[in-house]
Amino acid sequence: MSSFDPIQISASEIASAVNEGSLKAADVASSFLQRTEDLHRDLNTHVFWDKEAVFNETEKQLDYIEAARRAQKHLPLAGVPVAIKDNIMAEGAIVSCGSKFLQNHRAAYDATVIRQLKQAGAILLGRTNMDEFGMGSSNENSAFGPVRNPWNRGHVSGGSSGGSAAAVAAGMSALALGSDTGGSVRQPASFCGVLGLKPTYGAVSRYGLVAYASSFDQVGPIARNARDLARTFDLLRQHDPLDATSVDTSPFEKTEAGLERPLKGLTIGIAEELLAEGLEEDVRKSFYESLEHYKALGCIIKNVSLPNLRHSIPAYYILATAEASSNLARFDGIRFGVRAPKPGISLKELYGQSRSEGFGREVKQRIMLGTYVLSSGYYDAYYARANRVRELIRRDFEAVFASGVDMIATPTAPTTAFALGQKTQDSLAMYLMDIYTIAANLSGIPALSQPIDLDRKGLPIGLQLMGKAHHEGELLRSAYQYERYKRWSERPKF
Amino acid sequence: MSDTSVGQSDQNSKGPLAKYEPVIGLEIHCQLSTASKLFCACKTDFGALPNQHTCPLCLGLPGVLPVINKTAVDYAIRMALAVGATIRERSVFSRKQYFYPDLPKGFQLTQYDLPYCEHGHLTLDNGRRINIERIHMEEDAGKNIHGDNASYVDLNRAGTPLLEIVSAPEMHSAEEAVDYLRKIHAIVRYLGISDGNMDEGSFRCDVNISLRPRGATKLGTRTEIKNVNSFRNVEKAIAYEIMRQADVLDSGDSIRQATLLFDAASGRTAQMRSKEDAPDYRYFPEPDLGPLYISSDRIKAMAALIPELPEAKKKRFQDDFNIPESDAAQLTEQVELAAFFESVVAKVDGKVAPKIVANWINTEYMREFNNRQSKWAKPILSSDALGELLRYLGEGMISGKIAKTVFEEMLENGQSAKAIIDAKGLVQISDTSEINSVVTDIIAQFPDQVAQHRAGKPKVFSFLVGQVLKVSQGKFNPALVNSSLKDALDGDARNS
Amino acid sequence: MQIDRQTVEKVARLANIQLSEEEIEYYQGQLGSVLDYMQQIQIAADQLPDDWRADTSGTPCPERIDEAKPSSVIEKVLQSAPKVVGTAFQVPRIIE
Repeated sequence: MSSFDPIQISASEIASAVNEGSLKAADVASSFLQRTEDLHRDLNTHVFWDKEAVFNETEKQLDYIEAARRAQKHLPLAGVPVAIKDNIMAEGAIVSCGSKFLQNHRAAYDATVIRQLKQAGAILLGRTNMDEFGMGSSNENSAFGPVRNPWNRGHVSGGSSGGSAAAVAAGMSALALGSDTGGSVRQPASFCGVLGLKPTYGAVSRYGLVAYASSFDQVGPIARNARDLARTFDLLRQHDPLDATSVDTSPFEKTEAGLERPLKGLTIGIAEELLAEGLEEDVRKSFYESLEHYKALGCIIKNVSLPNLRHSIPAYYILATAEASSNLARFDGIRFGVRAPKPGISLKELYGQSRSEGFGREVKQRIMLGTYVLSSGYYDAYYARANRVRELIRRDFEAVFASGVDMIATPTAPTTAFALGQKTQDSLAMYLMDIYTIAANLSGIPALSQPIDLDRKGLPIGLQLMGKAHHEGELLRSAYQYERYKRWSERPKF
Repeated sequence: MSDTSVGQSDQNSKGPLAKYEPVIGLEIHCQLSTASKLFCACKTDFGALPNQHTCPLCLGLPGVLPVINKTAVDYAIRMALAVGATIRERSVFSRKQYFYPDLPKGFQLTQYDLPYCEHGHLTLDNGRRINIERIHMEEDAGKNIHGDNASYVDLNRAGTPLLEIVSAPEMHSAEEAVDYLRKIHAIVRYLGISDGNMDEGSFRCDVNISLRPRGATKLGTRTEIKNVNSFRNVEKAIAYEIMRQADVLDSGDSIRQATLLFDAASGRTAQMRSKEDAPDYRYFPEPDLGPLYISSDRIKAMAALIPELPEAKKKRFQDDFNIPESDAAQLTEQVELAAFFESVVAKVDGKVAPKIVANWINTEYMREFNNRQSKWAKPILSSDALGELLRYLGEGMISGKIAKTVFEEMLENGQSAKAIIDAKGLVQISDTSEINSVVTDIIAQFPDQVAQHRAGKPKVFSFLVGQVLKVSQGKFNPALVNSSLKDALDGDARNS
Repeated sequence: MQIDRQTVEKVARLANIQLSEEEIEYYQGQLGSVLDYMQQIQIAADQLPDDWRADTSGTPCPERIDEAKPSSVIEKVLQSAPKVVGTAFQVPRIIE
């Protein structure tokens, strides 16, 4: 395989070809580097993109891949280019989290997921744009400008992992890592017509992921097909002693090994109560069509009830902002990041000005919301109550799964990618975009988004499957067999 | 030390104490002597260049996660057991949020409403039981160093494991407070969970103090004196604060709740700059850590590792060695001292009563130990050396007076007791004929005193003994001098 | 719903964020409407007893063996820190 189409080739094809020696990792890297160089300005997918620097960085990894090939050691992601969301630490890289505060911040250490990717033979190919600190659903909250949707430049990419989703959709890399706190992998994956997985809370290490809301955050892969997604998840799923919330459930079955297992007999639950207001007609139609396809694959569709899920958004925005207000306290202008430059100011002014100038509007809003709900006199009314709602939502899922349901299906988002600027003046309208994705973060269960169709405007529609904790295998196998049954090979035009 | 500070003289302290009852509670911060910090693997050593013992976690870099130190939890369990406290099966770490340069994450991880330990107690020397409301684990902050134009942040100490031990407000004098503090200090040293070093700040306390009219039950408004770092300063700070509060109350004013600092140089407390807002720490459970689970099996395993504690050791010393409580209390205050005593007792092999060993150690030995600022790691004299000296005393080879001379000599030139005794010819003389002849001379020299003795004046006998010993330059065996003189005087009496 | 100016100012002070006039007004509206919307969880939450606690019901935290390991990260951190003197971070003089 000497020539290939970056936008069509899969990660597993690259890895096989590199492992066999029919494709040189260096050629793969150059090809994707060039494609990123050509496209990134137009889509604004990357931050601090520097082709030369990224190329130089790949050298060591190329040697490692070559050594493995000579030793006939098969690396699962040999030579596979992976774009990294800019809130994941990679030593020496500028890790900005989409924030002005960190525009000069060079990471001093590697995140666990970065070590895992390097070990698997992946080539880190750039840092992707994101909503500042993961706070946003459209990527319009980045200090470095919004990511544009590869399917229509006038529309958003979704967020907060918008750069990662758009980069994969545009063939700038075969894979990407995102992070998902309330839908930040799945929703942009849906908007950009690619697949995204939010693993079970604790399945993938958070060490080195800049925390937004610690009890919700998970790193998740983004890919153009289910096998690539499964393979990446398999290598990320590993117990990490550096993360006290990392779950040790080894030995895991590799989800990739189970992809071919038939779906016959799997029960998919549908909660009609969630499909009422705000759901676009095209999305609704495609959603029900996709269920027909699943039926044809042998799945049973069953109506279920998740009565507390309608409180997901308020519960999430209370708890996530509370955690965020605390997680972002370390951004004080003392040890790293940007300090307000004015001389002769007091310590109090140093804090206030550094944070005021360094943080964007939405980040300040969420810090203040979180500060408010934790402050004296409000804790019980907001934070404690929201925790109880979170538990009720968890129990709703437990009850449904206990009744013989294997997965729950919803649209990933109530709409397809909306126009840039459409919702930026109304926080609530933006928050409502997370209506389907948030519940999985609240209850810690895994969820996947897969592209199922295009709407009448030619924008992708995503289907979300949520599964039982640590049952990512079922979600990935379903997506895999679905995409073989109803081939999704749509790609944006360039 | 300042003589002008209030509360030093008896005159001053009797006044307010007659009218008011002080109510005192202590919050002790005790640094655990683990190898690594509470939530990261950095060293806990003292005295490196700023920020040398730091890592991404204790620097508060983005993206890092805490993982708790098992040994710190083990130590905490032992402390709870040592004060008879209840251990909570599932306790919780919370984030206490405030901005300060020495607090890199913008919050301190501490146990808040669900601490691992509650309801302990200990008994003071005066027999009063003091309740320990709670003990919790937390991480220490770093240090801000203040210069003329700027301050500097050193995070070496940030993340060091601390136990905070909170007493009930049940002590009523500086003496009780110091006794309580000494007892907690002794316990952590016995358990080996802390070096207890007050100079380096690894054992320090905050003092809460209020006054109420004698007989009243309602608590007065309290003040809190922060970070007092020696037993002596605790005593002085409390004495001063009692005086100050009494003064305020006497003049008809009321006490304002405040946080104070004690200035050891002036012996006074002073108010810290008051904050604009009442602190709102916005505590909430640390989402990066699940609950801390302490099983009953683990508690049992820790209980098995608890050594004999000061109270029990004191009791045993009294019983086994037949020494008074005060001696036993003194000996058991420091775990190393108690061990030293037992080792010397073993060395003298029954030749000297333990009571005499205790006296020697508590007075001669400890005086020199403290004067010379000795450390137990390398004491002024080993237990072997002291044991040898005391054995000669017990065997009658030397007198008590000579023993003290030899002891001083040993400290000065490091020679063994034997070498000094031999070199200086200090062996005690027990030759009765030699003694009898001097006794006869003395009786002849002091006829008046002999007459007084016979008239029944008891003190004169010791005078005569002293005269005999003086002639011998202290070498005569005092017991033999006693009996010889007694025999001679009684014999004379019979003869006359 | 708008929340009052004092509340926005108080919260901003706690969070150490300096706000401009314009921002204060903006957040009065935005925070107001979001907080208003959040009120809806009140009734739902009452299905669980008040004393139900999330923090004790999770998976217990693992514990780490007490071993000191050196980290050489400080050199890199000092290089990109905003202001350093020697190996210490410099801040404006703190007035106690």
